[in-house]
Amino acid sequence: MYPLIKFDERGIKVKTVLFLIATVFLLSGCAGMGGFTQMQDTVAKFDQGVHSASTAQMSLFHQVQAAECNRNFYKLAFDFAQGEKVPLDLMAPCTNTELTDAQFEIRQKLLATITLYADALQTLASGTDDTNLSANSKNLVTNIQNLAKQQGFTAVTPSNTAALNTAVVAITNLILNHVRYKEIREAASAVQPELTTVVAELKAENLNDVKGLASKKETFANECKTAILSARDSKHVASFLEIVEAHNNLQSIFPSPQNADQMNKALDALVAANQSLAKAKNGGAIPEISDLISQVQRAVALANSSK
Amino acid sequence: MPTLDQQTNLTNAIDAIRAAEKVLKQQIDAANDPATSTNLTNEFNKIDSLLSQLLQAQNLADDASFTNATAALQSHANTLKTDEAKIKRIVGDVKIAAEVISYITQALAFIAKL
Repeated sequence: MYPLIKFDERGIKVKTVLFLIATVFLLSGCAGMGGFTQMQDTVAKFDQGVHSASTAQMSLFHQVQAAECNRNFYKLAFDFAQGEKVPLDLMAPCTNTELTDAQFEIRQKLLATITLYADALQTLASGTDDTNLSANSKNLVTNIQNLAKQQGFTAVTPSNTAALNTAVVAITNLILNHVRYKEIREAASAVQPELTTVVAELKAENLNDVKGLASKKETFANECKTAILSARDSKHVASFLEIVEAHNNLQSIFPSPQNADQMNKALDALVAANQSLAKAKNGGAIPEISDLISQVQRAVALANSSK
Repeated sequence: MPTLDQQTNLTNAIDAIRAAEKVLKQQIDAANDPATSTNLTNEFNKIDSLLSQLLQAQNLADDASFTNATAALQSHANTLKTDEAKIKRIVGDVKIAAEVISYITQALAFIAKL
């Protein structure tokens, strides 16, 4: 290292040293900033993946409700077509009884618990001064927490209900107090077990819903088959077009049980992605987060193909 | 909210009904005339409406609603008991008819325990 106090013929060398030192600091500063930016980017991708998973899950819940409504109407229509005296109202409104609107809202709040948590992580990663939740978000989180404290979330397996509500309380506590966490991995690690519990419940609901979806699709298929047999008797080869129409309708009106399977894979990927954040010292390319986005994209593609 | 035992019986009843439906669906797929297909489909639909009630009960959180749902289920289930002769007539194949009846009987037994 050149001494810094000598001038004249060493003036240039001094300047060079100072330049080098400044460059070293600048570069290390840049490297630090690069690492910080990488974590921001990583958490942003996680947040995006979680939101997309939530949207895909809500879409599946909507499909479950729509399947029940369609099923109820088509059963009535089939009875009517056989000559039975049933009131066929083509504009009859539908009231869901298997997944009611009230139950739908509770599932929505369960999903909001996860998306608000991802948002809280992102505000932590942003490193800005403003890491507080918006007023709306705070109200929603508080609302969800109060519901959980009253055991408002019911698990598919009753013995899991207490643990589910405890998990929601823990996650919402973290969301409301996220500013006390200094590192992303600390926050992610703090809720990993609780996040796993909430996701397990969503998966269990999907598995239950699948049984109803499968039977509704089969019921409609049976009715189509019966109608086609009658059409074949009267229209012969002209009934081919009705067969094609029935086939196309079946694919589009009732979602495949595959949709629920893929949704559950996306949920598994969400848990794994959070686990990876719980271990990550720096940001960068984390395979589990890429996998989350990939699995969610597949879930969304399947959901859209059912519309 | 259903107890663990009630939830287990609900799940088992659902699985038994689904098993009966799968066998009936195979018969419908194989049917080659409208009359047979219509009869089988109507029977499938009757069983399926019981499945719908089971799914409703599964999602209920409060005890009063669950008690009402259970009573309705057991009442509905009783109407299926008289269908045994009809199933034997419309399914045709004795063995397959017996299989369907067996699954329905299992489902009714689980429902009776609710």
